[in-house]
Amino acid sequence: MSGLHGIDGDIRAALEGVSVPAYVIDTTGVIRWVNDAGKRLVGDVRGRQFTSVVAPEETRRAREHFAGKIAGTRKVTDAPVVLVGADGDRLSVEISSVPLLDGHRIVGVFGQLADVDDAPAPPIPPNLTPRQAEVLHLLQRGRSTHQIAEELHLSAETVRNHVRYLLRALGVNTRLEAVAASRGELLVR
Amino acid sequence: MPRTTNLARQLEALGGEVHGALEEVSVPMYVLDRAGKIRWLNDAAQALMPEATGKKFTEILAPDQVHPARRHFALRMLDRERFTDHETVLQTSDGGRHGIEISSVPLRKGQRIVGVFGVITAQRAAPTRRTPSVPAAALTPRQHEVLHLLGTGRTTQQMADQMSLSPETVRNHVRGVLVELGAQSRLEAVLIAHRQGLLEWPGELAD
Repeated sequence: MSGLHGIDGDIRAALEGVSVPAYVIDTTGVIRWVNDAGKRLVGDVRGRQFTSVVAPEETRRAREHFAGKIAGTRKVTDAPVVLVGADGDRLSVEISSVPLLDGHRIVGVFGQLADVDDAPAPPIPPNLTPRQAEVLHLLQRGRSTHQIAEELHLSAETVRNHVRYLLRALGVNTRLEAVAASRGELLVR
Repeated sequence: MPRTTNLARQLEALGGEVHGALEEVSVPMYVLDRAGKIRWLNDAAQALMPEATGKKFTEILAPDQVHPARRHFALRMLDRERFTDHETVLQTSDGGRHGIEISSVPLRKGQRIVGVFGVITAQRAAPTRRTPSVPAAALTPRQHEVLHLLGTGRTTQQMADQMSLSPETVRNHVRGVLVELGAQSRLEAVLIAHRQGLLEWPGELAD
């Protein structure tokens, strides 16, 4: 569809001004552009690797998504991500990103933050493995086993295994308890 | 270098083209012309507002929203609107109401304002009014109690013990809570309740 091409106005300038954070990353993973809303959220991170803005336990998954888009195997990615904010806060956001094209050639990634959670993302307990941390983060977003399996490219059974060990590591019996515990809720046992 | 040329310059440097990306990204976006006609919707916006392209934006709003929306639009065209963000309510084809939050800016050609570019930043499923008493009203006192216990991570058995009910009765209350909140799981119910302000994490109270 070429609808936007018929519009007589500067869409790119408008994108600078809306309060929805947006960014462009080049094929080497360097952040090339961030709009003002994005700068308010994570600071002026132009020139940095995008992974430097992503929480440590999420960088592997973020890299996979990015690689898939640069390779052309993934078109639209809608994913929850924890970002590191300008003042070091952990920000829970939903990102929608797509390849940036020059004709048919992929020259980077364009992304927008579909949702920014008002509450900071809870810290990940230090005794979890990176996979368990990823699984916990998705549970915190209310994702089901199948949704987690899809997101992490794992089988449902593997996800269940990670959940089992996650619960054990947190010393809880249910997923709900795990989320409550990670939010700092005191459990009455 | 004027700030507004930033994206244009970067796209030039990369050889990229942002229009295609905007069509596909799953954040709903729209363009209105000076007459208030909807000139463009990306795929995500079309899913939200089917067959709205070509209509006046006032035709897809709930009747009580038309007046304030017209005012925003008029100020925007005069370049006198200071705020980018506001809330409104769409009217769906079956007469339902769909609350949305919008961030919009003037669309310019040179110095001239030729329309509005907007992004839908949030959608609220059942909304319209957000007085604190309304959301909780649909839950019975028992369901409310169950919801709060769920929020602390308690199991069916623990809730049954605490409320002096049978586990089966607790399950019934939980089912009612899930239906009322439109949740698929207990975990989702707690997260939805939290988002709607029905539950607060103690950590937030402490802050």
